[in-house]
Amino acid sequence: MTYAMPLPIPTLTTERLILRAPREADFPAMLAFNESPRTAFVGGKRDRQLVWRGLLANIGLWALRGHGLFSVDTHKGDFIGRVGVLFHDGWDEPELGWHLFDGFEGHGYCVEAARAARADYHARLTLAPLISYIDPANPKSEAVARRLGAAPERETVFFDKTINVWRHPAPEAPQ
Amino acid sequence: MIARPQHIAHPSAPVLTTGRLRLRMPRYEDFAHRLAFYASDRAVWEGGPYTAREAWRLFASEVGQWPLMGFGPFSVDDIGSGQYLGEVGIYQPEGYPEPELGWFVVDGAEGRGIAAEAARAVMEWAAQVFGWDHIDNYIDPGNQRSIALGLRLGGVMVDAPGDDPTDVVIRHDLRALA
Repeated sequence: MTYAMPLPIPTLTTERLILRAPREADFPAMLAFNESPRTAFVGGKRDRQLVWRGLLANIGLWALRGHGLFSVDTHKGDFIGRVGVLFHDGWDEPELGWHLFDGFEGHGYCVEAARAARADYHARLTLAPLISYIDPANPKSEAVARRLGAAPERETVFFDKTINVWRHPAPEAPQ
Repeated sequence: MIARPQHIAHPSAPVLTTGRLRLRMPRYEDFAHRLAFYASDRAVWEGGPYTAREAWRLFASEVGQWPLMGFGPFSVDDIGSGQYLGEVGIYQPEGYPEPELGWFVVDGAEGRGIAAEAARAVMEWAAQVFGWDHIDNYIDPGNQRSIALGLRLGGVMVDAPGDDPTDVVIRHDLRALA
């Protein structure tokens, strides 16, 4: 079972980034993202109440299943996006997901954060390889998945849309 | 006004025990009971019925209150058998003027005073941990059973803001519990 109550949520440090627990101060940046066209591939614009509920539901996911989205900061302290393993009720499998806020693309941050989140998930919970749900109209996310070593596996209907399931490589066996 | 604590003393629910009940942090398996409740006609008083997706979002977001706010839902088990009986907790989604006391019990556990016993334990806990002098219920005016329970617990109807303008607001005095 996976209700391993990882509270407090772990903090992961990479070369350029810090993956940390979500906090209330993340809300304005999440609202700004919600207002931007960049939200098109993660479910579209929502009411303010649902954005707040989304912040809380992600923390609930951590409490209930032992994983969730990390909030990602640069070492300088800029909050640049959210990356981690999602598995909401009704989904096929745990999913490695990511989104960066406006202005932080093009630096390889997504790949760097997703690698760290994926390794943490496998180290703490299970070695079963992850999936990513990616809309075929989102080539930037496909490029991130490819750089993470994932490959398209099948189509599925996800929130009334036909999209692709990408499969990540199995983690290397523990030494 | 009562306010959220500055310091998070409990990032997940502590265990509270009463004569018949154990109150604890919710876990994933509890969702099935919420899902059944939210799909039923009884959910009409909670803004439902809800789809599975909406029910999950509500459940997960309320559980997620704990690390951020230091309060949230307690799952209520029979202290002897461990059987899940329902939920009592303190909820504050966006738009609620204050943290609110709420409850539900599963079909078959109604009429035994379960919600009242659990609610008393949660009020006592909240009074001691947060020092609040009161806590309110926001109840749909059609939900006569919940209104009756709020009054049976010693609450009084007050003219205060709830979630919806038509809500019945029942206020519990916590000063004697602190």
